[in-house]
Amino acid sequence: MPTQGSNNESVHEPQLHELRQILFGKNNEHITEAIRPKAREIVAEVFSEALKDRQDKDGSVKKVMAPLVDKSVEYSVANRKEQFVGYLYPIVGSVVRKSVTAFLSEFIERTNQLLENSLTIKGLTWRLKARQAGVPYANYVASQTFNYRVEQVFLIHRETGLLLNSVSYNQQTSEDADLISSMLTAINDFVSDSFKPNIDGNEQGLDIVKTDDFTLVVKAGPSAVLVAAVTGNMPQKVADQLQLTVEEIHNLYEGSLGKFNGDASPFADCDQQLMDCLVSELKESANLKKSKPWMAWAILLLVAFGTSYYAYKLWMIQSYVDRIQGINQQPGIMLVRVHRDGIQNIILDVLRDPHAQPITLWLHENNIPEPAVRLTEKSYLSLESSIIQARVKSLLVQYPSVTLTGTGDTFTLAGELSQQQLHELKAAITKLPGLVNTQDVLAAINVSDSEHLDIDDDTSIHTLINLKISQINSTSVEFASNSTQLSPIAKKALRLIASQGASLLTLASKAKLEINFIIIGASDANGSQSYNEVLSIKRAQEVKNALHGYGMPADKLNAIGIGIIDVPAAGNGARKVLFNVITTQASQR
Amino acid sequence: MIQKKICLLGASGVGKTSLIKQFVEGIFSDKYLTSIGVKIDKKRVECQSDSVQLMLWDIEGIDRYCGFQPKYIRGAAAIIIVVDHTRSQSLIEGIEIFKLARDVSDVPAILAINKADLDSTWHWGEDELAELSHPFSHTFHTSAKSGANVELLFSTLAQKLLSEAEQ
Repeated sequence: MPTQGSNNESVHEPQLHELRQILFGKNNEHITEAIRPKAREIVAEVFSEALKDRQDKDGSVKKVMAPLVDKSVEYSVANRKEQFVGYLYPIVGSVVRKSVTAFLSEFIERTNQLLENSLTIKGLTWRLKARQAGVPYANYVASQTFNYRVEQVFLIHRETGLLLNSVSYNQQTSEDADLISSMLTAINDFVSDSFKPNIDGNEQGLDIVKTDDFTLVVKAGPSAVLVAAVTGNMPQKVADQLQLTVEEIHNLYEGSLGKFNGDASPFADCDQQLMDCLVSELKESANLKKSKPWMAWAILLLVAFGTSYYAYKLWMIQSYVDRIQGINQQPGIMLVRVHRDGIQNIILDVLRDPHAQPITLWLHENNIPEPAVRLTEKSYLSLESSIIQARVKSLLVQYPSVTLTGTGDTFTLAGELSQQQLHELKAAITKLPGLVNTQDVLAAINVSDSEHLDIDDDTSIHTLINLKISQINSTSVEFASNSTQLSPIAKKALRLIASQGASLLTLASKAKLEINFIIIGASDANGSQSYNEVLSIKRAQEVKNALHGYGMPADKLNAIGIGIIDVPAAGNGARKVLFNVITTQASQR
Repeated sequence: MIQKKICLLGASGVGKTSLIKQFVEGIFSDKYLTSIGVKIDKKRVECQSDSVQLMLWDIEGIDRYCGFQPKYIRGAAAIIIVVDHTRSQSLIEGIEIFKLARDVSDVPAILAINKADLDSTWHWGEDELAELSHPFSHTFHTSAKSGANVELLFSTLAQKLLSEAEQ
């Protein structure tokens, strides 16, 4: 008797409770104490199975585990980066490769589609026709390419006309699907109200609605209606598929449909069933045409070719620019700037000595195409030794008997010239910029007619006379302090003056000029003025005697003393004898 | 988000369509109304806990000579009876329509006394009106012109529907 039993239990309850407390402890601590040593074993025995059972039961294990796994992964990534990278490394490469390949092939496919749609004659014709027909281009393309295509599928709650779910071929048109489904329901209601029920007493309902472009197929179940919008010639199998799907949905969602209160979320999962209805069939011609995306490849190749051509040209022009830098090494040429202008031209600004190698020649020698170079050239005078040599060489064209020997800074001329030619050459060489040691350069030239000057030309004679006068005038003889003795150097200079003086006198007589040599003695400021005056006269006299001794006529030599030249800075320089040549016209005398 | 179907009923010219226009976003032009007798718009109303998308069925003006299309009310979560307080007739007709609708559906009904921006010219006292509006769950004095109480009407409705759905 159940009532009896329950009465007994309630009577014995306090005693049982007491017994339990004795056996198990006040808070079951005897039991837990007994189990504790074995707890690990016991739990380990059933741990995996328990997890699985609980997961199967309500899926809560997953929720509990997820944050733990997240934390563990985070910890590993933060603290054991190396190992983690090691685990992932083998798969990362293939994942990246795969996604890049997928991206590229999709990109090529899309580009080709775009090109075919916009560039081919067919694409343009279709665009035109679509415009004439007043339908969007995409729809026109679909109608041309597909025999039929299910564009959109709606699942509608039959009683309320509310949208449960919808899928579409391209995701754009589904925004107002809820309004469309309500409107469809209203139209269906309108139809069933407007026409009498059929013989079986069932309501009239829409089955197929046809427009120019669209066919709406309506398949009604007891609680839900499936509507498909189809373009093109719809075959019966689409309607069959819809029928199957609407039945399947009723089977799967019977409960949710019955309890529907406006919340469409339980039907979010029926996407897959609806997707099955999005069928299409390509036209045969369109099917055949699905060949390689050659147009995209062609464009790609063209781009690649163009890019490599550009790169090649760029590389070429850059290598020219680099080579032109070397022009700076060339004597007499100074590089101002060189840079690339686009991929065709080089801008080159240089300074060039007229005696340096011509730029165009240099470019030619270095295999740089001349038309590519836009050259701006300005002249300058170079003091480089090779250019100086070149200048001298160009002078020597007039003197075939003279040859240039030596290189670099030290070079000399050798050969034989007449006195006059030598003078001319000397004058010309002196004018050349950058040449300092004219005397040394000309030292090795022999004068062929040094003995007898055969000069008739008046101006030449005058030039020669002036030359010699200036040579003598620029000569001086130095003395030691308080001395009138001639040093060996002084004697050598005096011998030269004597020979020059002799030839000067010869020339002067030809030019009918009277020549007089003034020999000016001077002294420094040491000693009294009167003593120094005497000293300076003595020095002049000594020089005069020496010159006379070397063969100069005494009557042409006038020795005078000017005493102290009081120039503190001159120092020893003041103890010297200077020369001055005076010319007068002989006829005037 | 849940969706609910709401039907607006009322005599011709009481301002059902204007009332909805105050409130909604739509894609169908008004000419649907005259061709099949119903125009549908939608409006999403945000409530504190959730949001409700109202599918508003604007059903063509009904008068005593014209039949009633009970199918349009099928599946509705609520109906709104719209009357015009400048015309006594519209109230009588509205009550009649309400009775007809009650025959096919027992969902909550709301009475919207429209054109509140104009002076009342009907001959109903406050007591009589209270008596008449007794079967309605709510009564609002609305104006489609100024927008007065329109927002309130629909948000009250949405709140009510939402709390029903949560139960």
